[in-house]
Amino acid sequence: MPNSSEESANITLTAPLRRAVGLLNTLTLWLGVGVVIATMLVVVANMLLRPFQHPIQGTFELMGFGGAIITAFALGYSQERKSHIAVTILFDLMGPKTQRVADAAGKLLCVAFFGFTAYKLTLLGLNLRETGEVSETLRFVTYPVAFCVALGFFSLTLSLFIDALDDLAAMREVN
Amino acid sequence: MEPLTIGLLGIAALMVVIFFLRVPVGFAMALVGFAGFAMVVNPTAAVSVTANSIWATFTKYSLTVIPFFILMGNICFHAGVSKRLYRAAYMWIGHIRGGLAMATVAACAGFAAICGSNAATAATMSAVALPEMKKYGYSNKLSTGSVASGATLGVVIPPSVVLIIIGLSTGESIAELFFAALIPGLILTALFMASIWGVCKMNPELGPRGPATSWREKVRSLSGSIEMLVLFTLIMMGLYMGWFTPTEAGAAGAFFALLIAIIGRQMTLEKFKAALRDTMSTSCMILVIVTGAVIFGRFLTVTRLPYETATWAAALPIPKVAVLLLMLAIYAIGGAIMDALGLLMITIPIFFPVALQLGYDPLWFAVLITLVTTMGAITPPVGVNTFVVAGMAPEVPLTTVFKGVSYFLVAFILAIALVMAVPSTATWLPALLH
Amino acid sequence: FGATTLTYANFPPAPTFPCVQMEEWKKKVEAATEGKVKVDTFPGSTLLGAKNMMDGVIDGIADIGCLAFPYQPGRFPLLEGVDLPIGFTNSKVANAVLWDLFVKYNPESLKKVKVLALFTAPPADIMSKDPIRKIEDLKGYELRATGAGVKPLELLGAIPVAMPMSETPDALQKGVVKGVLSSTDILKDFKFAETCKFVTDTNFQTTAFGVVMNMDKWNALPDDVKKVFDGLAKEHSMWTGKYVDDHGDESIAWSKENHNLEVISLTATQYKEWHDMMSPITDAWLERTSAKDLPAKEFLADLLSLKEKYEAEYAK
Ligand code: NA
Ligand code: NA
Repeated sequence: MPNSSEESANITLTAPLRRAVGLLNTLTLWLGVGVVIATMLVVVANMLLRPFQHPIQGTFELMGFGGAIITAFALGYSQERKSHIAVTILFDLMGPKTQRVADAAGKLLCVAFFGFTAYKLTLLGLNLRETGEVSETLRFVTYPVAFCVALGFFSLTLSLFIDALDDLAAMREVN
Repeated sequence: MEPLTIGLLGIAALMVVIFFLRVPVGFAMALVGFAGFAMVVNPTAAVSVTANSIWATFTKYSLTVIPFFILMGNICFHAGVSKRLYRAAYMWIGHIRGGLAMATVAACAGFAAICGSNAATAATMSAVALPEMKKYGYSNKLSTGSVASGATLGVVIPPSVVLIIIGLSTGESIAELFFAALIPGLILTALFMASIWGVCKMNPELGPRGPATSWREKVRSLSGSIEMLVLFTLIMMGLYMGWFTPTEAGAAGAFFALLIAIIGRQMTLEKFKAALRDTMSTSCMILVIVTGAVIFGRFLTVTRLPYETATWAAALPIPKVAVLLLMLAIYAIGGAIMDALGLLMITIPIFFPVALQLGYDPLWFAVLITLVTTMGAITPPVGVNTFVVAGMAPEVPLTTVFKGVSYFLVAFILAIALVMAVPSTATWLPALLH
Repeated sequence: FGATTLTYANFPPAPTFPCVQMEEWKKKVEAATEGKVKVDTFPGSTLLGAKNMMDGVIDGIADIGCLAFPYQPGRFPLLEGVDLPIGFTNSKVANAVLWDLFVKYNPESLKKVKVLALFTAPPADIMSKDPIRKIEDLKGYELRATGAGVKPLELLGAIPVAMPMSETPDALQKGVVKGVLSSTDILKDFKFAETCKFVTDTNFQTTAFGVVMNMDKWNALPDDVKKVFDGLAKEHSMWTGKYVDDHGDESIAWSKENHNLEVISLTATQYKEWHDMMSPITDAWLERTSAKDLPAKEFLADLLSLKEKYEAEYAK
């Protein structure tokens, strides 16, 4: 059994972090929802205006970049909801102790990987800004979208980190 | 170490990460792809390939159908549109064993005529069909299996991204390819239904028989299917009248569904928010898998493992039929471990000339490889459709979906064998149009 | 000393001309270096796609990559000048001009890589379901165009619709678009002649391509190999120009024979009128590029005089 003071220490330590990450995930989720609705309305407006020979220029790229924000801004929320599919067939055969270790190891591996990916995506955005790249039809700057994608991976990393902390805490429990 | 060896080790490493660390499949593919790329090329390039693949896949126009068709499916579910549709279906064919699963496969075939993507079909049909089949006592195995398998029709029945990719990379006419795939797609649909009938006959608990209904009940239930019929007709019309492109069809469909739900007074703000939340997490889950498959595919590509295998097979001094079977085997295995489009882009320039040289009809060959690669979407270890369906039904373990899918694999193999044995299934319709 | 293996990535599918020139270059290099260099090719975006080709080569994902400059607008500001609708009549001329301009201006945007070849797609023509014979025919007419092709259509009163190549055949059939603005090789390569029965020989913008190599990989090459690559650069660029011009003609001949394609030529007055209408594009480029402290005016003047010079040399 875990020492109760130890456990509460663990909770106090992570509670503010948990709240902050939860807030970040919720915020990006609803911003993403906003982009879903906006993108849908662009397509509808394009459909209605086309017969009058005034289609919305650049629907194609608005959808592409909108799609990127939608996916990226759902990353933290999906991790929080545990939406990502994992295979448990062999995992279930392992002992509870081994399972905890494997779980924590897998998560920490992902934390490192996605943390680094978020950093590299930020660099990609900076590079897009520096080279002055714009979209093909509307010629708008694309680097803010890259920053959104980086932010999405940042929130995924934090969410994974919190889950890893839970696994580590559970590991002590098993011990 | 030789890149080819690293390629094989990478596949093994992927299995370990997926099976023993319980790392989500999409994450695992990205992670192993990254590590492998670092070994074959160098770490800087590996970091870059990861970030670049994410950026390219996330911003890809054609993939935007995924969130919007899912939204359409979720709106239909939360507004009860799919409930009423399945109620009608139950009244009409519920008394047949597995009847609703057959109806689901038929609905998949119908949806396949709108949507050219496997994953989008799987996600949309999951939202629409899974809760309903559960309600009527269908086993998770049969219901998830029929949606995952039925969704493969998304790329077999035209329009289809896979056929478009084959067309662009071989110079075959995309219109002719679409016609060539139509009959095989319908054959596959029929065989799926026959499988459902067969397994339900052997094990009636999978899809229990419903009560007999009177004609009056049947006719009355029809009104419940009107909303879905209107939605389907609007999308079909829009596509054929050129109101929107196939990619825009998802967004237009979601809007139509919302409109229908609002007009029918079935939509509340709470329901709409729930539909949006589900859409966000599901489409994110699918795009993470797609992106992971791309990164892992980049790694396999740079090891040249698929190229070497294909070149080796094409040069073997064996009889014509054996070459064909070997090529199809490579597509089956390749389709099971990497994403279909990447595999096709790599192998087509190698295999297509071989097939032509052996005197095979190009349309027929294209349909065959479409069938075989698409089967990969439901076979382990990397079966995109099974992942999507398992993700949409959180209470159903992935292994259950794979078990359910196994009922349909026989039908798949039969369909492939039939198209192989009778080439006119693929060539007759395009020839008729000349 | 073992053989060096170089990876070469390309974005369009294998049968298209950027990939044909890639295989040709591989053949020439492997023969000329007598086995010292082996080239592994990756067509069809299997290793790098159109938009991440440049950064992919800089970061070493592939050693060599073939990219289309207008797919990343703003990134190659000076070179965008080559794709202005100034009326190149074929690729051979455009390639020779492009090469000379590259040598003279050595653009900042390409300094992080070694340039191995430069070429353009043939100037874009209008391929359509209905005949486009006069400017009125373009009014409100929906044509698929991307990048540098959007503005010309807008100025001529047509409606440019941007969509990926993979969606275009279907969109043509369903009438979402009624034609395409592109080089004519796609009539045969992608079977567009099945739906587009008319070509108007407009000679709008070209699409400039570059074959670039990772700088570290380049520096690590032995001197004799470097010499082979450098020696091939201009020659191979010109080979590609001839190939695409011939291929475009062949594509038209094939379409005439198999799909009754009609080629519409503009009168000299019409041609001038249409091209004059597009001058705002050049003005906008001049302004935009000068604002970045680049010698846009001088570049354009050289572009036009070189065009004249090479047109005399490679008469159509
Ligand atoms: Na389809
Ligand atoms: Na598979």
